[in-house]
Parts: sequence; C-alpha cells; structure tokens
Amino acid sequence: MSSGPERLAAAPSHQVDPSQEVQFSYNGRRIKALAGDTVASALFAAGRRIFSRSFKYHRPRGLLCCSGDCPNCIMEVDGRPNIRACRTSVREGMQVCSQNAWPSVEHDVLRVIERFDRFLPIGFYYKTLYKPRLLWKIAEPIIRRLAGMGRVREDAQPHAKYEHRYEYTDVLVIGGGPAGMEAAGHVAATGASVLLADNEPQLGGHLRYETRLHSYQGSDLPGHEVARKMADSLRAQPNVQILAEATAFGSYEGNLVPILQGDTLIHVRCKALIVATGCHQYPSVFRNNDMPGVMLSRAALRLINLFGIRPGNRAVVATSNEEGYFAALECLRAGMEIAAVVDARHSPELPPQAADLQAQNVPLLSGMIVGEAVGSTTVEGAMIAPADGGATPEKQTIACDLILLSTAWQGNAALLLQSGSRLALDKEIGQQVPVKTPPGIFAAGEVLGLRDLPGILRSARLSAEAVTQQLRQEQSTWPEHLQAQLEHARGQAAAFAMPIAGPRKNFVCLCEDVVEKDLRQGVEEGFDEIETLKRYSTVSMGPCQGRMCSRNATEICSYATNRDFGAVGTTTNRPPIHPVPLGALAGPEWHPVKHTSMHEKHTAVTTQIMNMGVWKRPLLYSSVSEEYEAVRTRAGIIDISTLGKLVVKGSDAAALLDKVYTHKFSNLQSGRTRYGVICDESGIIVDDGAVACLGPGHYYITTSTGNVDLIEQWLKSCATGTGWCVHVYNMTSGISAVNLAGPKSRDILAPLTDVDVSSSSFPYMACRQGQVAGVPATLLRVGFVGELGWEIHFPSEYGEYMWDVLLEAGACLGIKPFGVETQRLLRLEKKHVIVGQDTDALSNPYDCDMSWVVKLDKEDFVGRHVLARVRQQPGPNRLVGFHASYDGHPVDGSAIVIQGKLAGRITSVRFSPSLKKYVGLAWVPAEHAKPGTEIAFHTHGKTHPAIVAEEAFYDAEGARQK
Amino acid sequence: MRSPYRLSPLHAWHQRHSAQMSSGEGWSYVLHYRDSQTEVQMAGSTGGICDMTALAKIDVRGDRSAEIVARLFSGPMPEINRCASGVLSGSQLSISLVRLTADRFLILAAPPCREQVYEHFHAAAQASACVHVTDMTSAFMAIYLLGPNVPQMLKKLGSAPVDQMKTQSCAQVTTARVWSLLVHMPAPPENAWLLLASRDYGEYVWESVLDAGHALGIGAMGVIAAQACTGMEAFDVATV
Repeated sequence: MSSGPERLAAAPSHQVDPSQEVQFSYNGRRIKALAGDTVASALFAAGRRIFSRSFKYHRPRGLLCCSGDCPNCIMEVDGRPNIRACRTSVREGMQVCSQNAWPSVEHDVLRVIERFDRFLPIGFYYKTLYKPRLLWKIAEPIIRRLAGMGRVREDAQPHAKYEHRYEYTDVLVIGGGPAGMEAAGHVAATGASVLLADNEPQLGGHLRYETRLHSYQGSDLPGHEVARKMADSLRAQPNVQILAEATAFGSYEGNLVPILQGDTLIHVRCKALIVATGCHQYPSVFRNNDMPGVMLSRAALRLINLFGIRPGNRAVVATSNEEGYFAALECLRAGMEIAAVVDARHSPELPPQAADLQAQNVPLLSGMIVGEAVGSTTVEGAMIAPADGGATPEKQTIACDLILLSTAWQGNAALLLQSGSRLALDKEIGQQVPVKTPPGIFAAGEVLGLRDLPGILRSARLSAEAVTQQLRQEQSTWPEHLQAQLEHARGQAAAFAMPIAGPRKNFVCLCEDVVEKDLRQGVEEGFDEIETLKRYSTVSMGPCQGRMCSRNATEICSYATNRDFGAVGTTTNRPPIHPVPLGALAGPEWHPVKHTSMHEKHTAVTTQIMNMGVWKRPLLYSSVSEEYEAVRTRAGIIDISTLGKLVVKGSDAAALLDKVYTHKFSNLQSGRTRYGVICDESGIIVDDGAVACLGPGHYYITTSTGNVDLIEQWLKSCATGTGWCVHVYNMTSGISAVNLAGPKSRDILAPLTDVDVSSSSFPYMACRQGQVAGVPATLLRVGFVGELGWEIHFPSEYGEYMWDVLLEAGACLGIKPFGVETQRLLRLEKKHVIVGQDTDALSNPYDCDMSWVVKLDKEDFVGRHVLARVRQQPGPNRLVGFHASYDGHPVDGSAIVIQGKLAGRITSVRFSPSLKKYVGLAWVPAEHAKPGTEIAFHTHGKTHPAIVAEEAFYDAEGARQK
Repeated sequence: MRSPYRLSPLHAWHQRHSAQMSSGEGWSYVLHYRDSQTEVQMAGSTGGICDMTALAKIDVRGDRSAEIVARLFSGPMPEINRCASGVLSGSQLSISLVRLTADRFLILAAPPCREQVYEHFHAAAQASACVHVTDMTSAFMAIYLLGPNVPQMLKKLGSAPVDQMKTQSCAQVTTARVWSLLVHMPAPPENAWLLLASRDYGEYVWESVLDAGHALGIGAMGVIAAQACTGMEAFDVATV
C-alpha cells in the first residue's frame, strides 16, 4: 500500500471526500485515494512525482498543468493507453500503469538515448537512414519500439460500448466557467433551449479552485462559492441541459459540434454557438523546463484547493502577471514556503497580494526570470537570471523543490478557429484574441483575453444579448459592440511575453521532445514557414495539439526569421482538438445487413451463405454438380429477391425509359419484357436488367443487386426538370422474387397459377400478372440460366410461403434449390454478362458484343453521342467467350497472354459439365477477338491455350428457354 | 394446398425469443413475449417496441395528389412533415395521413382496412391526370415505439431532431445508418412513435433499436400490451 504526505484540512473548495477511500492499482501497487480524486491527484498525494517518460529522450515528466492540456501524465488505464491521469477520476479497483518506460517510469534505462541526442537532430531520419534502403527497414522497428506513446493491446477485448447521440439546441455553450454559466443563464432566461458542455466534473471553471474574494451579487465571496451559486442558479433553469465531463473536440459547418462524454459521442447542432472555453497557461522556455517540479500556477491551485494537496514544500514562483502573486499567496496559506517571487517585468504595478507576501518576508524579484531548473531527476533549485539577458554574475540559484510558472496565457480558441473566426495577437495582453467571428459564433470570457471576473461576466452577458438578437432574427451587434465594451476590461489584464532564454534542452514541444535548438536549426535548413517547420519538426503534432507549444514555436520562428509575430502566422487548427478514441468515432457496432424474405428457409438447409454487398445470399445448397444437373434436366429454384426492382408509373414513363436506356421502350407492348442496358454520358455500361410493360404508363424494372439505389436516383435525376408525369418507386424490399427454371418448370408452375403458362399464350420475353398459389404475382418469362423458366415476383411477406409451396409442388419432379455459384455457371454457359463483374469502368455495349441493345435510330438518350462515335471507332479490346481444355483450376481475373505479353484478363470462368471443359468470358485485344482465334491464359504459374468462341456454349439457338 | 400466410421480416426473431404468436388477416402477430402485464408496465415506465409491419401503408403521389387526398380524408390537411388522423370519407375507416412532400402522402391504416383504403384512393386517382397510388405495405417494416424513454433512444439511433418533433410530425431520417421514416404519433399516449424502414433491413433495424434501448430499459412487447397502452384499433387485429 502506498500513501504520501497528509492532505490539507478539509475545505469548502475541495472536491475530494476524506470520508470515502478508494483504492486502485498503479504499476501493481495499491494506492489509496479519496473519492473525488483524479488518478493524478491520488498519485501525487501518494508521493509520486514522475508520471511519465518523454516521447523521444525518455526524460522524466511530472505534473505540469493538471487540466488535461499537457502530455505529462499520460498513462494506461484499465488497458486503454494514452489516458490523461489528471482527467480521470479514480474508481475502486482500476488498473493504472505507466507507459513508454523500462523497467519502470522512475528508473527508465532508455533515458540513455538522451546521451546520443547530438545524433538525433531534427529530421534525423530524413538525413541518415535513407541509404542503403535496408537501413530504414532495420531502424524503423527499433525507433518505433524505443520512442512513442502507449501501445494498443492487440489481444484486448473491447472494453467499452461506444454510442452516438444526436442533440439539437438553440444555443450551445462550450465551457462551464463563469463566462459560460453567465451566458447560458442569460440566454436561457429568454426561453431559448441551451446546452452547456464542460470538460470538468463540476461547473465553475477556474473559480472552483480560487479562494480569493470576488464581488458577486452584492457580496464578497470566494471564487469557489461564486462558482457554486452560479451553477445552482443555472441548474434551476428547466431549459438548460448541462453535460459535465464532456469535451467538445471540433466545430464543423452548420454549427455541428461533436462532444465526447465518456463513451458517448454527442453530435450537437445549434443555432448559435458561444465559445467560453477560457484560456490555459503554457510554460516558458528555459533549460530543463520539463523537469518534474516545474508546474503551472493553476495546477498548483488545483492541487491545493480541489484536492487538498501541497504541490511542494519550497517554491520559486516565476510570473509576469498578478496571477503569480495569487498563487504564491495560496501556497503560503497551504503551509508552503515561498523562496522567491520572480517577476519578469522590470517595474511592475504590484497587486495587493504583493504586500501580503512581503509582510511574510517573501522576496519579490523584478526584472528576473527562471533560466534553468536545477536538479537531476526532479527540481532541486531554480537558477534565476536577468530578464534582459544580463551578465552571468547576476545569476543565482535558489534551492526549491517546485518552480511555479505564471508567465504566459493562451486562449482556448481552437473551436473559434475551426468555426472560421480570425484571431490576432493583442500585444497589450500578449494573447491571441478573436477579432472576427462568422454569424452564429460568439465568444465570452477568458478566451477574449479577459482576466477579471466583472469583465468576464460582462462579456458573457454581451454575447448572450447578441445571441438573443440572432435568435430573434434581429441584426446582431457582436463583435463590434463587444470589442468596444471590452477595452476597459482588457486594461486590467496587462501581461508581458516572457523572453526566451538559453540554447540547450529548452523544451518547446513536450509531446514530441522538440527543443528550441531544433526549431532554430529547422529554420536554418529552410523550413522558415511555421507550417513547414511544424511538419519537419513535428512541433505541436502530439497529444496536446499545440496547447503547450504552438505559441512558443511561433515566437521562436519569429525570432529566428526576424519577422513580426503576426507575419509568422499560426498553424491550421483542425479537429479533433482533444484525443478521441477511434471507437467513439465509429460508434455502436451496427453493421447494416439485408435479408431476403426467404432467408430463414435458406439458413435452415445450408450454411454456405455469402455476403453480396449488404445482402446475405446462399452460395450453394448442396454441390454445383447436383444443382446444375437439376436445373438442366428437371427444375431448380433460386431466390433472386436481391435484384433491384423499380416501378415506373406515369403517362411519360416510356419517354423516361427511352431517355435512360439504350434500347427503345416506347414501342414495348403491354405484357412484353425487353432486356435493357443503361449507359452513362460516356457510353459506359452502368447497369442492365429486364423491363416489363405491365400496362400503359406502368413499367416494372429489374436492376443488378448492388445498383438499385443508383438507378433509382439516375431515373429520378433524368426526369427532373422535364415536367413529365412519371414517378419511380423502389420496390426492392417490397417485392421478393424467385427464378423457377428447368425443363419441368412449366409442369410445376401450371397447377399453381391462374395464368396460362403455355408457350403460345405466355411466350418467351412475355410478362403476366396473376396469382401463384393464391398470392398476387408478376411473372416474367426470361432465361438468365438458359432454360425454360419464369421469374415470379410477389409481395415479400409471402416469401417463406412461396418458397415452400414451389418446392413442395416440384418435389415429385425433382426440383432443387440452387445457389449463386451454380447460377454463375449456368449463365456463363449462355455467355450472359454480369455488369460489374464482366464489365468495368471502360466497357461499352459495342466492345461487349452487345450492339443489338443500342438503338441509335431513336431520339437522344444518355450516352448516345459517344456511342455513335464508338460504333464508328470501336475500342481496342473486346469481351469474348472462350473455352479451354485444362486440368487445373483457372480463376476469375487470370491474365490473358498473347505472344508472352499481358493482353487482357479473364472476367469469369467455370467448368462446364455439358462441354466437359472450361468456359468463360475474357477481355482480349480486338484483333484476337475473332471466333476460333487461339489465345492463352496464365494461371498458377503456367500458360494454357484457349479458343475464342462466337456463340453461347450451351443451347446457342436458345431453343430450350423458348 | 396450404393457405397463403404473411410474415413480418422479424418473424424468425420473434420465434427465437419465445414470442406467443397469433394470426389475423393472414399475418402472424406477436401477442406477447413474457406476459402482457409486464410489457404494459415496461412500456409505461421505460418503453416498449412492437412489430407493426402489418400496418397498411398506401403511397399517394403526383401533382394533384393533395387534391385527391383532401377529397378522401375527413381530417385537416397536414402541412409537409406533419401528419393527421381522420376518417376515410364515405366510410368509418380510421386512417392516418403522413405528408412527406407537397405532392406525396403516406396513408397508414389498420391491416384489415388495407384493400379498402387502397381501392378508395386508387379509384379516385384513376380519374385524375397524374396521381399514382401504390400499396407499399410490403416494402416497409414498421415498429411502434412507446414510452417515456423512447426519445432518448431515438437520439442514439440517428440524427432525427427528436425534441423538435412535436406530436403529429414526421421526418425522413437515418436510423441505425439506414433510411427510415419516423412519425411522432398523435397523443395520447405521449411518446408514441412509428418507425418505418426498408423491410430488407428488418431484423437489423429491430436489433439496433433494442440495442440502443437496452440501457434505457426498453424492450420488445406484443400487440396486447401495445393495444392496452394505446387503445389503437391498429393493434386490434390478432385473434387472441
């Protein structure tokens, strides 16, 4: 059991409950925590100071921000890598491990890498590991093993059930600090629906860990009390929905904001978005600024006032604003010793707290900065130096175990940037602030550069007012009005940009171990634009997404290129701004699957079910030979419900079909069916199928399985703007179909139907409507498999009934169900083409030997212009049938080889039981497409001869199907 | 020869989950899975879903469809994306009218009324230049969703603006990644919804809905519980 120093006495601001103990495991050791602790606070309270090892050099890293902004406390929690410990509440029994360290995070032997840093300059793998090529192959796995973040356990079971949720609201407020709460409350008071999302467990923002007094509603209250009152007031409003521990990680067009709350991804659409995301501190750049013991001042305040933990025993506070003095005073109150307050400003206007500090004999040093954190593993002292780079003798080292930084601020403006807002550097406060936002996007609070509570609340009310105006569809006055109002508030927030000092191990990017020297070298090598410098150095590309480094990197680029900060610009901000599990983006494990109405009947007798797009289809019921023999000699039945089925109705239906199909349909008589091909504007075959005329202005169309949605849209698109009376219905799901085929099929069907199925009354390529086994049905006499047969189309709810009835009726005649594989063979013997398998994105009807489907003598149709030219100038290849005697097993896709060179490909090939040889379709050069030409195909390492065939391989005259 | 029977795409699922089945109008229905009283309580406290694929769904579209519908529907003509309940003129048949676009309607009716409703509209359309009536009953599976937690569940299933959908409104939305039509049924009862989706996706959509509703206490229920909760005659079809 591990426990550390005692906690501070309970205080109203604390979020931990001393009466409830929680235990969890850290690297196999049990750690005591309190309910309300985060993993990070619990480990810190237990005496841990090293939380992780850095990406490249394996340097020790400790708590820096305590707010989820930096990468320093990333760990593996319950098998999930790269979890921020400062953002993760403790749970009883949770398993926490450090990562990227061996044998332990406290004693990581891989820190030896740092000794070779001179061999690992910026972009070293571009410079050193490219010759010979084998070198990179050897080095890459080693580099990947030694550097990096946590590892995904490949054997891990899914630990979470990710969900998506969709919310719509009038106003979305991001940020639950004082600005967010104030804005949400004011907007809600107008009756608008408000959704407020905050990434903390409780509302209040920075006020939650402030004990200094604020004037609020006529009383002087500590910050945490103000936060509590505001939160209570907001919760009382019924039209406000609060999402706690919810992180907005992007902003997309149409005011769509994705928010991650636990394992749920919430898609929020709003009419107006108020960004009140506050700001964050980032470290100044000095030697060893990444050492455990260097901490941002707000992190110290969190530890003291939320968790009752002293962040250290003796601290040096480096500051350039009044927040540093507040932090120093809080540390004193927590029982710490303040060795010095080091203010980078030369003659700062000291806040009232300075007097309290002086009264307690705290040295206040102005015009000084921390130049180095001294220590081997953790901070043992702070070397301070003149801010203007004065002479060496002025440097001195102050013993301490904590260096608190309150030197620089950056607004959390990523969502504003992604929404299309423009930011500019406000030199007065040293922060980039929004200067222009698009309609519907508003900002409030610290993100605007404000620091004092009255200014923050005023900005929130102004934003709320502007939002209300927008919701009333009045002219919104934001931001001009707001800008004017903020001038006074800004004046109270004066700050100073900390100079950057020193050449070595001055860390800029903590995520990627990029130091100041790297960036300067990158600039010298020509990467002097911030976007290219980012890509070359990987600065700001780690888990913090630039929160800790982008501002410093821009400053360094500015110094190194002698350009103004504004001229350097900033890198593009893209979502996600916080790490998001891929599982959360993917959402629930719902994979759409379509079943035909006879699916249960199939699965009852066969396990050979194949995926055909989203459909499930029987591949085989018994064997190809058995099923083939049944169809060719008796009867077979196949479920063809997956075919697309469209109904086209209207007085102009024929005109539409004439426009879309290459064939002519305006002359198709009622009761007749015609094969049709659809081409695109380039004359390329898009789809094919049967078109049956069921009556005047009433057509029934089949399409290939995967194309029905496309063809439906294609037809509707072609009808758009014509003024025609025509309507397209997609009946694929409503109508099931079977193909009853074989010489005995008439004998099976005749007793079941009221339709005369004799050839004289119901000839080949005719269609009829009637009843089959008491079910209303449409019958098409077509012959895809080359036998006498009918497609029977009927309402889907009768699927199982119809399947059973037909099988029962045919049982005495030897009927057998057949699957997709047998169907492929049967149609191949007839040289029937499957669009998409035998054709590709370059196939036109002429090259496929289907010129008979193109009627250039009719009026214009889609693709006509190109097809007319193709007819005169055919393409270089032809789709031909071929047969081959071969003992092996050629496969679809085998190469056609002519004179030893690749000349085409086989699209379909099967062994024909009737011919006792392989038959297939293949694309070959036009000069080798003449019947009888000998070609060759290459399969399984050998080349075999084949002969181009002119006619169908089976029943070339079509006598059997007629 | 056996008599034709009609099955919903969920029939096998119902059987696998020990549903007590009955039949009416050629359709098989789920009476209940456990006991009806438990299902009524579930629907009242959290939510229940009921397979109502047999519901008649008649599509009327065309330039003058609004005119035909106005003539045959006794209730108020709904706006686009709204629905209304009323009676088929010249009969006592209750129907619900869902207006999808200016010139496209979906008429919902109890299964026994399907042919009568279709014939009424079909006959009226014959006399009109460009109005087409199509029976889409077979094309859609229908799920009746009832209970206080149903809106929360719908928010998990797709992008439907559930909170904005007042009673008697409808929206064409994506549910569990497939197209669907969501209808917020007229109250009472509150929180009664009808979900129509392509029949092919039937079992997938049903299981996705149950998956989304599981954590909210929503489960499957039979027509007895649905009828007890709603009093709707659409459920009064099974031979109990």
